[in-house]
Amino acid sequence: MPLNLRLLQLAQALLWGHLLISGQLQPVAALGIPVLLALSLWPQWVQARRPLLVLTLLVLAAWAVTAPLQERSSWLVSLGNLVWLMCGLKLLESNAPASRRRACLVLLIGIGLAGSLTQTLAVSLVQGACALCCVGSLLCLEAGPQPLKGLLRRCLVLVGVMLPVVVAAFLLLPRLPVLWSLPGGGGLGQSGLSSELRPGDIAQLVRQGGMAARVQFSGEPPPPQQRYWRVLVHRRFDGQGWSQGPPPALASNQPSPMGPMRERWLVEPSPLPWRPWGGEGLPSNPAQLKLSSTGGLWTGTPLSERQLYGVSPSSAGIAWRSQAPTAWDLELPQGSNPKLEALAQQWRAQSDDPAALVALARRWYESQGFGYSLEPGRIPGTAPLDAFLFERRLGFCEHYASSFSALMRAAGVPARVVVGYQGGSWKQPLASAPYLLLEQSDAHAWSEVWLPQRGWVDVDPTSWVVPERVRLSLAASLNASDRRRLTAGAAPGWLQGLASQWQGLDTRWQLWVMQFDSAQQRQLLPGWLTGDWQGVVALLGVTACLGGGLALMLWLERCRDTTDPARQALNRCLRELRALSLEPRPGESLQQLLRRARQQHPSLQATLDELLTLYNLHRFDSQPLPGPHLRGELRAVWRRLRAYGRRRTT
Amino acid sequence: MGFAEWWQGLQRRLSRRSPHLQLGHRNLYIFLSRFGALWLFTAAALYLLGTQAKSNTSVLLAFLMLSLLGLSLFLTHLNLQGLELEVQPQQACCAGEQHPYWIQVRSSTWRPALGWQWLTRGARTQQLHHIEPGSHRLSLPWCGQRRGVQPPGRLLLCTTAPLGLFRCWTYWEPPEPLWVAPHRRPGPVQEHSIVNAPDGDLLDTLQPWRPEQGWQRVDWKAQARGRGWLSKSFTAADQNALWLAPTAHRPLEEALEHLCDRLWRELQQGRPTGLVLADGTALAPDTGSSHCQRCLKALAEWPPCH
Repeated sequence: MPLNLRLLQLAQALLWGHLLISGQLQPVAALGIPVLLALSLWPQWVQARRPLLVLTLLVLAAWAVTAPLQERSSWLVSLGNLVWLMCGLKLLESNAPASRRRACLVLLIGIGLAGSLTQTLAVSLVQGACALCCVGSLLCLEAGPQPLKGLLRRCLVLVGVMLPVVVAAFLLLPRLPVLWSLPGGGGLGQSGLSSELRPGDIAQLVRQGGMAARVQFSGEPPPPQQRYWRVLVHRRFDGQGWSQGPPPALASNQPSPMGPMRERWLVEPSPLPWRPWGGEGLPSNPAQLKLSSTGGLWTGTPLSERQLYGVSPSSAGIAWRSQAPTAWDLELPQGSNPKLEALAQQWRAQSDDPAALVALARRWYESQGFGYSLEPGRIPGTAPLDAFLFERRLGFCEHYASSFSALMRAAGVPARVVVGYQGGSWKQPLASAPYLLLEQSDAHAWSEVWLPQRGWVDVDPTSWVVPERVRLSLAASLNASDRRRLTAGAAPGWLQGLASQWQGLDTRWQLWVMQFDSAQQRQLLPGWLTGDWQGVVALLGVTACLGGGLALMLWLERCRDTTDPARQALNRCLRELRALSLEPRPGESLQQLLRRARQQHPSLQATLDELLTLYNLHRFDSQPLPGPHLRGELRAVWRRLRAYGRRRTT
Repeated sequence: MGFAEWWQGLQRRLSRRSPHLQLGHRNLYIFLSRFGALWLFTAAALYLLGTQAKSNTSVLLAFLMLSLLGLSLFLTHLNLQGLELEVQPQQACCAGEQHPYWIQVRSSTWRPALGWQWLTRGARTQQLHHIEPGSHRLSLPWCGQRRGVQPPGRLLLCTTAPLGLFRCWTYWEPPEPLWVAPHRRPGPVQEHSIVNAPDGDLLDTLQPWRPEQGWQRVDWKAQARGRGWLSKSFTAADQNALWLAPTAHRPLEEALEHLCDRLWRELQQGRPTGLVLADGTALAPDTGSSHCQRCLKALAEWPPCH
């Protein structure tokens, strides 16, 4: 099988592998592509049986039937699956150079589509390898059969000298504005915080794990106790669970942020239209994010790809904390949890000061022997909070936040539940600036109560029960069995260290490359370049890089030693002889030269004889020594000659 | 004027007629290949996808494809630039048979994937694997369809390496003609197994005359007919020698085709064979490839007044 076809098959296999791992493949493509690939390994069979038409109809029909059933996939993902299947079919019918070239193009389109759906560093590297295979296949198609090593070298040189051009074009060329919005990769961001909160939801999410966000700070990061990253505010309570309630008002004329970015967020895909933040300051780009009256950052759409945004300090203070509560913040279905309501009324009888009520609640939680567990068990559908507070007394953060908020509402204090992340692990990789890593295991729920003098104040009842959860980490706050459950399947420590470094690289890749857009281009380029002259400068820059790349390539081609290995080894030996003032004379054979050398340096006789024998063996023997063996032997001779020359010099 | 005529006229104007041709900016032409156009379209589509889906992977891939396209423009041109072509003396051949047209190729660098094609109807581009640095004698199969002394026509030399995105080409019209003898077709010929020629002339082979040979060796008859200074070389009489002449009972061209076939077969078997044509042109029986070439040339250019 020709090398060009093998390279295309390799590219297709790599594409399939990484798409399968990243969860982009629909069942038809996940099964169909390897089958098509396997068939392409037997081109004779394919040519003899000619199953292409049948296969094409079969694949198209299967895709057409199953694609609409994939509710979690966007049409772009379905289109991608079709293109990836087409790659397999095209590869199957590629028996002529022209059709292999076209298969290469279809593969490149497939790589581009895959790139628009998944953008991590690992995936980008795999996609780069696929593209390299395609270029290699094209080189091989033109230049004919050749050794893999030489082909790889040519391919790397070709792509390598073009990298500066690509970088120049990427940095300088003005970007086309977004004309229409394309959906991102469906299937991504399906895990994470949800728009409703039921007891047990966060405990389940914590066990799922996965990365949620990375955040870099312009100064020192906040201390662990203050690392509360709010995402969603639940105001509606139906007696069992919490939901968002009426959509909060969005700031229509948001004040401008002041100064440089304080928090730089890179968030993973999420099904929510809300983004995490610290709750202080303002989004750096008001067109990208809106601040709601409940203190949420709203984008309007679920996040299908990673997103980068910043938060800058604001001179206007924290406006959302002073937004007066509404009737929604006191809503409590009467009789849904009668014991809870009775307890709240009891507190109410003692004091009507909200701050005093909070203090009473804290004392009560601290005195009742509550436990903290990843698996608190199912609580009944009727009066669930009563069951938690007065019977089981075992729960996770959502149980505490939910029950405390309900208690406060029952006592007449406006309260709501905030869902987001708490804590995070501070990472200091070599390849990137330090950042705080938030994982799904850092998901947390806490409460906010309205204190008339202070506005909305964060209250975390979980920290009353298990202070280690906030002060240290989730793992430190769990009992041994829960901790084992949480860390089951986790990588060993050394691997986690490597993973951390890789995440650092990935962070840098995301921040520098994947999230680079027109706004960053404007920041990067000097002001005089971003106007009318940008196109001209970009063109000049790209042309200069192209010229430089071409010159470099030609120079590399000239420098390439095209002589055979034996002659190269002999040349090295002759250089050592020159250092001993033994220059070959015009018309002098190797034998004569070495004879002359022996006369002048008798101690070298054995070495010179070996050199002559080896070279002649390679040149004139009917079965010459294989290249690596010969190179090894001649290198040993060369080392002896060099050592002799050095000894004489010293 | 149709497109085909216009295209042929353009090819005629662009081709260079000289025994030696060094390829450079003046005689090399380059344009996007069909695959290159598809490549450009794909890169544009990926760029559009990348900007609209906010995917920098697609944008980077599009830029890589475009930069490779830009580089290919130069590399494809450089693959032919500097190549030197020179015609070589050609050998006579028979019509309807493939025959090598020899050219000398000089290159200072390794050049991958060159293609060539004689610009005749139905001809297809042939691929050369690559050209090593140095001077090489290259044979380009050529097929003449009719008898006579013919120029080989226009030669197209092209390349699409390294990526097939551009096609760079040149037209060359080598001036060295080819002697095309008639088709080889079995049939009756007139033959004589005698020592003397049928018209009574001495058996001789005519070769260019040199003064050292003396005046008595000059073929004065040939000189009087304007065929230049030729000398007669006498051969030992061979009872096995065969004289062949075209039969008078067939049309001339057909008779020549039969004669060519018989002559070829006899010479291939190593039998001394001579040739006698109607105007008295005679080539004495002999063997060997040079004799065969002389006979074929005589058949190709006969009658010589043309």
